[in-house]
Amino acid sequence: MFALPEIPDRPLQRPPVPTALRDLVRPVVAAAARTLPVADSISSLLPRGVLRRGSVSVVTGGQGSGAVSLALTLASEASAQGHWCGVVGIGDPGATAMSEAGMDLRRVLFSAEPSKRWLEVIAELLDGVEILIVRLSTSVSFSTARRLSARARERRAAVIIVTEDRQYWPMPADLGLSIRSSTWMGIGRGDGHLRARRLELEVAARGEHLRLVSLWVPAQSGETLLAHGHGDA
Amino acid sequence: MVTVMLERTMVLWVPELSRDGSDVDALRSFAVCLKTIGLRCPFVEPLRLGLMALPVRSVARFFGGELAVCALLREDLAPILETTQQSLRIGIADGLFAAVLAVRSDELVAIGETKVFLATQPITCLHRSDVAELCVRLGIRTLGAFAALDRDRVLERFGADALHCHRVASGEEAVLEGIYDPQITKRLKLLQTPETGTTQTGFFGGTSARDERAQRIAIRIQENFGVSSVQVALTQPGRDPMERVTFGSFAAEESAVFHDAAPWPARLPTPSPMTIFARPREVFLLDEVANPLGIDGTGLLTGIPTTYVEAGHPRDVAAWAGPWPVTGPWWRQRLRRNRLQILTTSDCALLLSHEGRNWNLVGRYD
Repeated sequence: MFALPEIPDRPLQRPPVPTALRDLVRPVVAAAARTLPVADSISSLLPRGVLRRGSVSVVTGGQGSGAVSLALTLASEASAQGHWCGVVGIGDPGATAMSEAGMDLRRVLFSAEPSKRWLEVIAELLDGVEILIVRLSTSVSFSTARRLSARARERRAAVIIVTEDRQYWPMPADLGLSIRSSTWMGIGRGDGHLRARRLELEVAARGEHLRLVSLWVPAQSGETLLAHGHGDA
Repeated sequence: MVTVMLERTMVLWVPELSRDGSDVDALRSFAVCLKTIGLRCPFVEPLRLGLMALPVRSVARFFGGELAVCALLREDLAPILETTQQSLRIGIADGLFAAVLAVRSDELVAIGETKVFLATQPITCLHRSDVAELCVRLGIRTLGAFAALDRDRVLERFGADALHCHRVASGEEAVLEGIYDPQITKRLKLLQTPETGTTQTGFFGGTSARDERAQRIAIRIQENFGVSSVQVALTQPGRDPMERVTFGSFAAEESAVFHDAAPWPARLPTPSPMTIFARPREVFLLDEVANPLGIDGTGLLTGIPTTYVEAGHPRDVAAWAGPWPVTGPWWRQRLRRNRLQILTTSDCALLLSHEGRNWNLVGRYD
């Protein structure tokens, strides 16, 4: 016969956590609130696999090289999950292609006019959207770039700059993607049609080695696919 | 003199709300008033803060006379206005302008007496200081005296917009320009968004707090930088990527996005061009011997595309696909066109459209 443990009269209570300790333990901002979702296929391009809020990414590539498609690929997953996206400076956006890339057009604001007050428009837009895609067709001054990055950090929005020339954005970027070459597949001499495009990219993430990566944008299925990485360059 | 029948109009005025200026509380209580009146008279519209108008003829017939409508609306609004100790004035006259004047003195102008009523009003109520100043110096102090002036002389002296004032003063036009506050509808709409958002949380097409914030910012940008500064894309079913999307200015309403996954005849294969030129540019497509290419009667290219010329710059064509025709009925020749994808040797993919005898650049696969 063994003695049953004594049941205490009052319910068991956990000793209270000291407030000082609680403040220490609690994260300042939840991890999910600091990042924006990206498609699995391109997460390996990004530093730590996430698109950080408040970061500036620069996508470099000439006309017809796929730079706009690549920028939209970065934004598409977040857009599909209900985050608002602003598109500034793209004069003739192909909204059908954007929706094919996975963007939710109901949550995309376009500001096409390259007006003199575009910086003010961007500053206002950053209050409302979480991802901002800006195409630069001329270079911006260092102070403009610094103000824009500061604003993005303050509003915790991710800014994606699309330029033809890396020099147009005079500041270092958290992520730099520059398109070395693009090759279309599926089109022949009078047959087939444009199906998929393979991009050769140079990925320069802050604090990481320069990498060369191949990416399908868009892939044959309409999505983006990572072909393979060449490792460190 | 032309006799014009103006619509019988009722104007309701809560003077305390107008005095409060741009106060949000005033706006909110104005919205409540509008909603309450809207339950009985659905055609009520806001003019400016504190002032609303409705066409009264049909309502009067339904409720048994204009006086009955006044009594009903006073009764409806009483609980709202009493708590805040606000008053309500109602004016009825033929035409909006006269009704707005009548509401100042809480007056019901009988049918057909609007002209007489207008004639006694001071000329300053036209809100044209230049006209008023000169007329008063000439001894023309009332709208009636102003209306009695020869219209050609008014036109001569004050210009075309004073002619509009003259027509309003003589009771031929109902609405004086500037009587509507262009911002009021927008401001009321802004007020509504938080209410709808608190109950829905972003599932199944509902709006979330995030949506509300973005919508509010979009409206603010439009107010500050012009309506076209922020646009949204509206998609619809169609053959070409340029047909399938139109851009409209942002409105707080849900934008119409069709889920156009269903097949559509003569639709271009995906992917679509990432850049679609709003104004197609004329380009040239040449064959090996530098003859311009066309489309023959069987819908085929007349040769092998070799050179593509855009704005004077020739580029070599590496590959092409198409042409894919869009056939319209014979009476709509404008719809007939052929689409062609080309890939230049520099790996730039373009979408061309052939209409009539010309090639146009319509899209680029950026």
